[in-house]
Amino acid sequence: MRDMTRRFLTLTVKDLKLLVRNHHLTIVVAVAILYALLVRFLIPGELSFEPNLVVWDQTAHGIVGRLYAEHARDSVVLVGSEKDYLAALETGNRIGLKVTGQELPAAIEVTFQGFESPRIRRVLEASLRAQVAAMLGQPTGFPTTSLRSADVKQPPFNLAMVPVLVLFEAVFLGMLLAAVLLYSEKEEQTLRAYRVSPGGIPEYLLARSVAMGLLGLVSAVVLTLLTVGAGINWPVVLAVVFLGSLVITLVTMVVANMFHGISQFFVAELILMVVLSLPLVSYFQPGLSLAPLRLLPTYPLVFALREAYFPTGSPAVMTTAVLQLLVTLGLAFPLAVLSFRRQLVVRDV
Amino acid sequence: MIRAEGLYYSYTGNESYAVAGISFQVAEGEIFGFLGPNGAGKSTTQKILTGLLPVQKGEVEVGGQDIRSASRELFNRVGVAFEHPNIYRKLTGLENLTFFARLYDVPTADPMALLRRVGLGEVAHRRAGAYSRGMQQRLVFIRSLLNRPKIWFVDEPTAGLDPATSQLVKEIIREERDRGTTIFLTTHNMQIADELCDRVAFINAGKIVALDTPREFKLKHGQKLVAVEYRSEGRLKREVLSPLVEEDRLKLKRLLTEEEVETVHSQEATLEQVFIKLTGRGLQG
Repeated sequence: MRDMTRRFLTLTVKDLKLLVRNHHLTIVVAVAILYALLVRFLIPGELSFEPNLVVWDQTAHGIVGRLYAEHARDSVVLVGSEKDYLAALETGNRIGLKVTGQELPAAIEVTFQGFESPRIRRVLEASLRAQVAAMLGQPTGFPTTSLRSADVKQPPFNLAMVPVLVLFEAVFLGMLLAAVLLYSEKEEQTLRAYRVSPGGIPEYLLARSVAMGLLGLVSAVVLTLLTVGAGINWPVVLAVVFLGSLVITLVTMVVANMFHGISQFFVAELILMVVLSLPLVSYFQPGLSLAPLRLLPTYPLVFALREAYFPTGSPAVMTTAVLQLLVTLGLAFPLAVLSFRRQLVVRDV
Repeated sequence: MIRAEGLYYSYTGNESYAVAGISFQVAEGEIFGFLGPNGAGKSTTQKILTGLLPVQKGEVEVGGQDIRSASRELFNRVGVAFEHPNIYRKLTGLENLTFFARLYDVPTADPMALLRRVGLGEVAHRRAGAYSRGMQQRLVFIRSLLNRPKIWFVDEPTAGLDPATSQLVKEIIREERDRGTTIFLTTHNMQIADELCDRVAFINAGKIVALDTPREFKLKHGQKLVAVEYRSEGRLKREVLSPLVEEDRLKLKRLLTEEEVETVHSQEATLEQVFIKLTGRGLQG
């Protein structure tokens, strides 16, 4: 065991040296800084889903138009004639609100562009009805409650992207770099020299995974500090990024070893990336949390990161994620060793 | 120390064998030459013997262990000097050796001393990718000696080396033999084989066509004649004499005592000539 540990440490140090000298560390830090700049300066903090409205209030007091102008000044165009109403609707992707009648409650007619789906139409119609009713002090519909406590704030949109970018950088970029390192060893034929030494496949794979995991940690730390800041749940962020990198590196090593070069591996990597990215569908659309997606290692990773960055009072998400990644690692490692050993005998000679 | 029995190997998985029924044994402390042209099956055999290729058919024992279930302990006793300079180009020469030295569970040689031994001491801290091909070759050669191997596989040890370095490499091989190391030397260089090997196997088209000591090969397949060049009456003359014929023996004695003899050469065959005679093809092919 002591000999294996020594070999594992020797291999890890060698891999770290190669990561630095092949400029992989520089690439990872540069990409993390680039992502941070995107988050800070390019991705908006809020995405408005409010439609741009054209309001033609024909009522005597023009109260609906006035109230809209007060509450949503930027997204409302007030018009005074049908000609202006139609002209304004033709300009841009707008929805028209025609208010008629002399007395309240006024009659309201909504004009759509015509390409909206029935679902969107119903949502917008209900939304507008509720807005107008609220402005006029009328009942707005069903009373609503929320499972989450009222003081839990949703993160700004740009910061909500950070867990996704950590996934892309620490895990997916790590995938590519792990493959590059493997192919460089194949090209140099150094694996042959390793294989006629007492060094085994388990410590080789573990060392490579740990080196890539450390690279992932550097990337996650840089990106986090430059975007979300230091006030986050660091143990969880570091644990899930490290474990996630370990699992993904093992998968990458096995898949990459099936191909002779990076160009052949590229298609497989794209497929792998698409599959591993599927949990992002659930991340952005929580209603689409399909059971098979939860089995992918990227699922617990991205959700645990979000909870660690922006707590919603659900620590179980993080504990479950760490446990799931540990179990996945426990299964992936022996399978990777078996697969790698079998393939390496024939392929790298 | 090394035993191969009925060894077959096919890269295509069919009856097209790169190695076709090879059997031989190498005794402890022996330098065993595996001589043949490119594509004859030498490297495939060595890869099977070192576990780089699986045993498809036949039996292989190295250091008393079946290579199919070879333990780490075996690889602590084995050294392999590859023909291709398979080194980490982004690591320095010293880092390359230190890395591999730390993989062994047995006491290892001092990497710096090994580098100095082959004239790489001054470039020990330079990245190996910046070494010339010959320097990389030397690095790979001494890397295989890190664990002071008991069984040493050496593939084309002098390929691409200048005469002085080739001489040094041969010296090191002799030193290892004197230390009692069993050496399996793969080459198509018949001079190396002739100079260093205790026994030589000729391999052609995946089969061993002959196996003997270099001396026996030359005696069996050469002519028992002596060529004498001598100067007489101001002119260079040449006589080819047989030591088996009484008249020639007397003539040889007279030439040696009475004439100004410049060269005397026995007329045994070279290993290359023997190889061509046995296989119908040259070693460079």
